[in-house]
Amino acid sequence: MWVRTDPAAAGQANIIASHSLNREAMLAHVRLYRTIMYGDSPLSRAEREAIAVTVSAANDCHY
Amino acid sequence: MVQHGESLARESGDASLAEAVASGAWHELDERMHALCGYALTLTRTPAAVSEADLTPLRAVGFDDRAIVDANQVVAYFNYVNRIADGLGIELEDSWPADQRAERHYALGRREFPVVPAGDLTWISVEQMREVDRLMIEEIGISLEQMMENAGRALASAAARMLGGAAGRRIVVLAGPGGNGGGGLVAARHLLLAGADVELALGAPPERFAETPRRQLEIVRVLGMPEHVGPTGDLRDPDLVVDALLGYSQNGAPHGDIARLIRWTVGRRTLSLDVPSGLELSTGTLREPHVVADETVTLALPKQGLREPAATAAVGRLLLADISVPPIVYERIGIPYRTPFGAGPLVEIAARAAHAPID
Repeated sequence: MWVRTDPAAAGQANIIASHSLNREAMLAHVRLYRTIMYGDSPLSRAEREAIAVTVSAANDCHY
Repeated sequence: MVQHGESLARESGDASLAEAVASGAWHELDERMHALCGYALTLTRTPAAVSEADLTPLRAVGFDDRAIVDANQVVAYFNYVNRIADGLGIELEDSWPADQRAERHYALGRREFPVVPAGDLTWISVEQMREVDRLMIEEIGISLEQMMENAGRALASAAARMLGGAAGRRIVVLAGPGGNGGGGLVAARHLLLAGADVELALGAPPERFAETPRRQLEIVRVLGMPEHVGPTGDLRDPDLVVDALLGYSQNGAPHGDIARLIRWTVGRRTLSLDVPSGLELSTGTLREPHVVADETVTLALPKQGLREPAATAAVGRLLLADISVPPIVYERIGIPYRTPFGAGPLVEIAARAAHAPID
């Protein structure tokens, strides 16, 4: 259903590359992702990943 | 799930942690992670029911407003990104091993009960429910013990579903001295027989139990189930708490051992029978203390008090269990009724229950 049309999508996870047809949205997504998952926060990296796992499991999202 | 399960294993240095989180075995988590996962689950499953009270467990373990904002961002982001993955059919990259790439369903995400729209059901008053119980026993000949068995069986099914299976799970059943407690004791027995590690905490000394729940207590005692009365200090941290302390007749603020046990449930995954203890159904008022349930299994037909705005956060996801009430009973009381149990004896009432107009 999707293709990697943009060089910026190279090396990105499928989930990000999936919106390479809308380059601005893809770049904004990458920036948001890096900010909330890797940026400064009182939450540890593991705590943030635990939230990710909880939400994805509750949504029964395998990816 | 797979992507971030891997990241969680790496960041925490604990390979089994992702499985524990996804399967709901949260007793393995530290208190900070436990609070974060609880918030993430509630906000994902019942977003419209989230209120200030859902932030209390986060603040209780020391998260400040900035941390809460960050946690909220991560929850919101993963709901967004899950919609992208599902909406576009995104698959894991080829670099993942085949066993990881295989489609899988997670305990937290299991929705195996049929869903019934709230508007298809008549929401009844406490007085009407009391009359249903009376007619069942006096006119139809279905005993309290039979109704209790059906209720407890359904409760055990809901508990097993929440945990992705009962086997090996640690469950604490809080049982009060009345009919509600009797249903909890039936569930305790079924969960024990299904392989769970079950402990009882009684809301009153055994001699104060009414006759029918007392018989249920005798049965689980024969089966050797550990039993606590009084202080909560030696209760272990379970995967799930089953709240069967108080039923639909409860009035006023809980006190004594029952209040102590209700306070002990704070921050723990909890499943309530019929109504969360501390929620006064006749008025829809939350008394202090009260249980904040992740899920509630109500019986026969939903009660009006369960969808009062103040109550919905304490009720959580609402399930409805069949206790075999024939249509003639509802007809007698003038309650419009079409069975919601065509697809099975335990159904989920659609999340919009709280906002649906009264029929």
